[in-house]
Amino acid sequence: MTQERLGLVVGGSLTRGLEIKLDPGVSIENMAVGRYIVLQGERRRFLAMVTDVSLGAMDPALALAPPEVSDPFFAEVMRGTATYGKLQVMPMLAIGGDVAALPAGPQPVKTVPAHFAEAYAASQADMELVFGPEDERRMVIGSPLDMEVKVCLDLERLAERSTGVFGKTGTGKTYLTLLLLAGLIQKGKAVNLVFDMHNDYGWQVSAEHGRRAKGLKQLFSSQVAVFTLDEESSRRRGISPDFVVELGYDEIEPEDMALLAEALNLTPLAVDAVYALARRFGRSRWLKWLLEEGEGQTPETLASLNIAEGTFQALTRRLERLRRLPFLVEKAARPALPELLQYLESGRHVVLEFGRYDRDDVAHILVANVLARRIHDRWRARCEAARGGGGSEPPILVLTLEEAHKLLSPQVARQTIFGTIAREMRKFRVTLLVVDQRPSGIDGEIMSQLATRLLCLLDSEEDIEAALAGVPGKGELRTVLSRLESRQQALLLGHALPVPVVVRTRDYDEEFYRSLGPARRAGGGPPEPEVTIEELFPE
Amino acid sequence: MALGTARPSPIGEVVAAETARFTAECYEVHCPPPLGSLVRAGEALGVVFRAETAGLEPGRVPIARGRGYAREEDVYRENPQLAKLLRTTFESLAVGSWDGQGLAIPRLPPAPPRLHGFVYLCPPEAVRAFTASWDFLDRLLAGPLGEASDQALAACLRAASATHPDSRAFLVAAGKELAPRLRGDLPRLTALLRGMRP
Repeated sequence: MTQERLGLVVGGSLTRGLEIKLDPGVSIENMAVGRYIVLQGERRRFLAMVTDVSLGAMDPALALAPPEVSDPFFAEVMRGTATYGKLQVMPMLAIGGDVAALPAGPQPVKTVPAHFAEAYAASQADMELVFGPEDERRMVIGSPLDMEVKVCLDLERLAERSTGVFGKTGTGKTYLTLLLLAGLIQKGKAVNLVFDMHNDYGWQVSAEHGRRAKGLKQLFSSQVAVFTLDEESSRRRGISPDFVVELGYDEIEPEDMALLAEALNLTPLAVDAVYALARRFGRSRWLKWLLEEGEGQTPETLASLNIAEGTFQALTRRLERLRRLPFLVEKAARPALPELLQYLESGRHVVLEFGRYDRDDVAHILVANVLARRIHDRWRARCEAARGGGGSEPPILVLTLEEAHKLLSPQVARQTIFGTIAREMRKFRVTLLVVDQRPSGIDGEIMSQLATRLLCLLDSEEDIEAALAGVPGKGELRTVLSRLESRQQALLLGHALPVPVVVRTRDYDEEFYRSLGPARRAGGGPPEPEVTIEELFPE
Repeated sequence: MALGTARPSPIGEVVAAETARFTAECYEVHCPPPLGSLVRAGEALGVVFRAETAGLEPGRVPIARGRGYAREEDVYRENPQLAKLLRTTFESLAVGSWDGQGLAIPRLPPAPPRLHGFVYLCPPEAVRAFTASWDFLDRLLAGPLGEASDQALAACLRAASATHPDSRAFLVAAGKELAPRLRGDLPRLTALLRGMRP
């Protein structure tokens, strides 16, 4: 073998990982957690990830009375012999050694190589074999540390279950998410609805260093529609939105108030009162009644509703805040939902910008829930119909949620539609792409449903814990995760990848834009024509 | 390995031999081969680890004769019989054997060398070839004299290093071989390394 030998397997176990003693000539400083190495067993090769690097001494006395290392001769002799470097590695995959096993590809690890199996740096060919080439379902997401190999993400698998993108502010979550979305759109693996709380995905991303990058609309023009809650803000940013979203009072149901209880500071009694009002005035008319006729109600009316006067007053006062949301109107001139469904069902992608409401929790929760619930109902109906033999299944719909902890916190996760979607997984062909900086703020059950995770640097202990919850080899990966660089590095793991891997994510730049080419229509069908027939044959 | 085809002149003669070591008497008094030299006697290859000069007859102990002389040489000039009454012997630890075709194997010879067999100093190319593998280290580390054998080993390695193209690299490699063999005995390792330091 021409590869550089790193050392020998000297101990360990499948569950705790293997220990490798580095050869004297190998510099321990060249090793890094997150790197891949290959262990050459008797019959197969094992791909293993470095999870820890340590120093060992053959003689404990050496630590107490260090030799005369000021003499380079002594130091050189001792290095690698009396003292040596150790790697802790986690075997991840076995690659069949004989020709018969090759077509089966890499297999999960069920055993470990024997003592004194040799360790080598993973070669380009090994990594290519594991991560596969870029093709109709895979996109290049980056390269492993110190390697030129491309790591591909299986977008079909990514879309079929929910995904999480986590990382501190400024670690490149948004660009990573844009890469994923662009990949999903280009390969036609899912229809996307992006709840764009910070107005990043539609037309243009503005990063903190004044760098600007293209949003999805610029990349895929007619394939992507920009909906907005705040037309003014969109126009100021030079976008002419495809649709301005308004929500009518009639679209808001008592369940939505339950979700808003925290944001609006409603007591449980007030929430009960909302349900009582809905029973009396109808699910679609209670809010209109409350906002328009609520004031000045006599105690008798309230008594008949079984609502205490104090509770009622508090409720009216708190819901006054809804009046200040201009997109909330008595009756929407053009209801947003049919429009949105028409786009999504025809395989086009929608970015919903929040404009100036980017910091308004009430707006986030209200709009995301109201829309997602209806869309989910529609998808569910179509799926059920399709299973009963009526019509075709809808394309997979991926809902992208920024600031996901607001919608998926343990307090509300059980009630929001997103909690339901995450738990149902792909049953009704709707999955989530959760983007957040505080995974610990997200309900544990939801976290466990995120089959693919893309983790940028996290530094709080709780966030690391939450981000890796339910992942095999969590203890080892934790070291890897907390040692990521603060930009453009991510630990990718889960359903869409054969093994966890640390990558330097690819640049979201001109080269990436060029590599995209025309988008495929989600759910099959030819790509959209670049030019219309009128343009081709002008009269 | 080639042990030299030209016929070099012997430096001494075997006067006592056993499986693991042999003693030879030098033809010249006070001229034993340097500590750590690789020597050959019959089939046996040995590393010199001890040398001794003493009176020929056990009953006649050497006594001081230099009072009044200005220089050491004067003692021998004035007492020419001394060279005939003293003898120098050196002891070698058997570390390998010569197969007769000019190759060395790191294994003790099947039989100790014959008494009165000639002892030759191995030429540099033979030393280089023999020290290309490290098996002889174990024999020397188990030498009968403890610290003194270790010093012979250090001297042997230092001398051998001169026959290798990169003598420093040779010594470092030898040190790296010794380190695991002497684990748990750091002072001994340090002393050895100090003795062989380039």
